[in-house]
Amino acid sequence: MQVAASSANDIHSIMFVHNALPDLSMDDINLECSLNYGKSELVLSFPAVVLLDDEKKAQEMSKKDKELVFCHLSKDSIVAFSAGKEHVLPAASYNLVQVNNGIEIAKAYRASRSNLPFINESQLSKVKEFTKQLRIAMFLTNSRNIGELREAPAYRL
Amino acid sequence: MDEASLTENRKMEHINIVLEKDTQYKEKTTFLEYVKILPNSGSIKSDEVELGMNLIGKELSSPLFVSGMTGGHSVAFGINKNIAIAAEKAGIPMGVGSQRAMVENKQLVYSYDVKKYAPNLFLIGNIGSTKLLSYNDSRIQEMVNDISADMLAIHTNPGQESVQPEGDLDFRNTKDRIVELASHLDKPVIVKEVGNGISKEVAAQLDEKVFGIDVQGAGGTTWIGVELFRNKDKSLGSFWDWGIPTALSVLEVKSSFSGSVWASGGIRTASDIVKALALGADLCGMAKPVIMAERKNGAEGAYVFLSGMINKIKEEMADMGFGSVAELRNAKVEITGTLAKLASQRKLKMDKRIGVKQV
Repeated sequence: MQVAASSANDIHSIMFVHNALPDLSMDDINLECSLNYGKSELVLSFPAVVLLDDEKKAQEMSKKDKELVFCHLSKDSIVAFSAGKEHVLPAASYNLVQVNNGIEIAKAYRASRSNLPFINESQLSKVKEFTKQLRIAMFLTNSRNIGELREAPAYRL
Repeated sequence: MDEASLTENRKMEHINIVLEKDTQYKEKTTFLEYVKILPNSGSIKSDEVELGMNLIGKELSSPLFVSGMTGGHSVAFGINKNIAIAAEKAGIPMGVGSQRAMVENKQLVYSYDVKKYAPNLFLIGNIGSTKLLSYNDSRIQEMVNDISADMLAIHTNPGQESVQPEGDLDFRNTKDRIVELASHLDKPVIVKEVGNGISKEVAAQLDEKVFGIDVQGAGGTTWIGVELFRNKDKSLGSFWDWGIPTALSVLEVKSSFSGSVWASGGIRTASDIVKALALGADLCGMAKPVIMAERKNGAEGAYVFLSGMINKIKEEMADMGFGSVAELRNAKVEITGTLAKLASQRKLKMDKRIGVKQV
């Protein structure tokens, strides 16, 4: 498992290829992202997790804010809480990448399939802002969902 | 306020912002700095350089045009009229801004109808791609006829719409509608961006369906930036530099589109124009420098700027030993730096005369 402030798989080197004729409406865009582990699945409605130092706090916060997934890192796993329910993800499968806006969330998904974007507690107030930015980035790359975003044409600077 | 009045007000706001605020890309350039033309041997005098060309049966003095900027209010009328007089005198085409305002309010036709003052002008009409979904073919044809346009530019601007407070965020079927209209309209259609560039994927969808593509790439005025001055939501500032640089967009479009390719977006100097032509552009467009000259000294100011630019293009070409645009288009060109890197990544198909030098 790797945790990076922003450089995992070099998300800043990604420059999306602008699509001047997207064949979609902003309303068509679905931000959901599924994380599969074993035979289970964790669905993120906002496609970045909130990483906290305290596991108990992560669980408590997930009970209060059911839209977000709160995580804590243990030795070899990512302990994720969604609406209070615990999901233990194999840490080796993910590169946790800190993001600072919605375009960076888009770049994180485009840069590598193993990237899992995260924000910290101080960025919680910006989720709405990041969501709007991500939707625009997806619109301008003609991506209806995260799967299409992963395949969107992009340059690597 | 009704929709027509809102459109009219918005057009005026746009002009004021472009003239008064810094709306240039901050961190992104046109990438024309990565284009190097290998000069011809032998010397030519600038007055021997032949720039004339034919565009759909009309003779032009040079491969330069004034990009569409405005329309729909009295100030826009003054700008369009002055630039029309200047462009006609200089022998080059001119575009008008989006004609949506006059479709919504017929009383505004006068602000676009500049052939009254410049009857021999090559005039390019303009409408947004999403508006094609609301207007049928006969309405668009009437809009073109109302100003006696020689060509119609369809602008597609998802970036601008995304940050515009009242933006249209439904682009479904716009490509199909462009293709349908182009096959019915009695004038040629070009598709243009508004400063974010066009990719090879989009160009391929338009190949053999429209007459041309004006890439209007990144590096000059950003219309996302213009809208950010109007939008209270400043969180969208991270999109300021979104887009494909103009030189890269020319290569992208040339890679998959066999029609006429026009270069605009951040074209500021004769050197920019000569480089874009050498990359394979058929015409080069300028906007902001022309409107700045017009606002300062009216039609005469715009004419002095345009005729001066044409002379500088000739001087630039003469210095490199090219006597005509055709010779320039056969010149050996080297692309370097980030332009070379990104063009290679994208496996863009380029003329053999264009060498890619990656460091």
